[in-house]
Amino acid sequence: MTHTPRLFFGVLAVLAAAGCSTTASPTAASSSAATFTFTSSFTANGSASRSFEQLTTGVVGLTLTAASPDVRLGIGLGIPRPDGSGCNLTRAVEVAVGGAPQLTVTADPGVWCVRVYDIGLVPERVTFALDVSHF
Amino acid sequence: MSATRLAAVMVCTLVAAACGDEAAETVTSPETVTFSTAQFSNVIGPGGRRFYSFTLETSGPVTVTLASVTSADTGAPLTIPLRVGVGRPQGTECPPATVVTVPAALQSQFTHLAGDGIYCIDVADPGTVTTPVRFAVRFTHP
Repeated sequence: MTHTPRLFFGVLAVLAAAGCSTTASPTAASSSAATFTFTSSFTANGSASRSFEQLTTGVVGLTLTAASPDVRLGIGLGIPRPDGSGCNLTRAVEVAVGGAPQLTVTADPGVWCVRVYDIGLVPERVTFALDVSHF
Repeated sequence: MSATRLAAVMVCTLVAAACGDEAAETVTSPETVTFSTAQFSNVIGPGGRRFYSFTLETSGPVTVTLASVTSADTGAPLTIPLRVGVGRPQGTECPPATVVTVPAALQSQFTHLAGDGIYCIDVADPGTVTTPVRFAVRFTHP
């Protein structure tokens, strides 16, 4: 049985190598967009705002999906005021109801806010829906 | 001792020693640094400047974002750039050690590596302000 020591060496060498293995299957970093709908109403010359948390750097998209009555409104993205009284805007556009993102801004992780406001066209009161996609 | 037994003893010793270094390592836990987020808002007119002082208990990066510039009258967002800097206060001044001139964005615009002590964030009109503007700066620090 002159082969026994060699076989023993071979088997144990394989076991030794396997025992110290630190190889792990890499898990790809993943991030997925979240979407929520901000629905509210305000009177002539008014506005409504809401904050949200962006968990990772990515594009925030805003889409005005409904307005009743059907008037153009201002929609914007910004930073919440520390006293909770509203939203200081970074970017904004004036839009009618549409079906694709009407304002997109790349944002760092953090708490940001959206604001919908009258641009002088709201007769008495408007009810709206704003889709917000973010990461 | 037979050749087979000798081989077994040698290889078992090698197997046992193969992972031995890991047990001997001394692992030092990394120091945990907690970062805080703060906001500085105010109004400046043409040629104006404002600064805000804060204290760092430990050294680390101060990351700054000029997040909003709006008309002080209407609240409409403006795309004009402002000069934003970080420095150490000297009397009633805040001479910035790191400074950029940027429009508002929701992504950090610069990082200043700071030791512990008192620092300030300075916001100034670089010549673009024609009517009073409200600004909001978000910054994170250790």
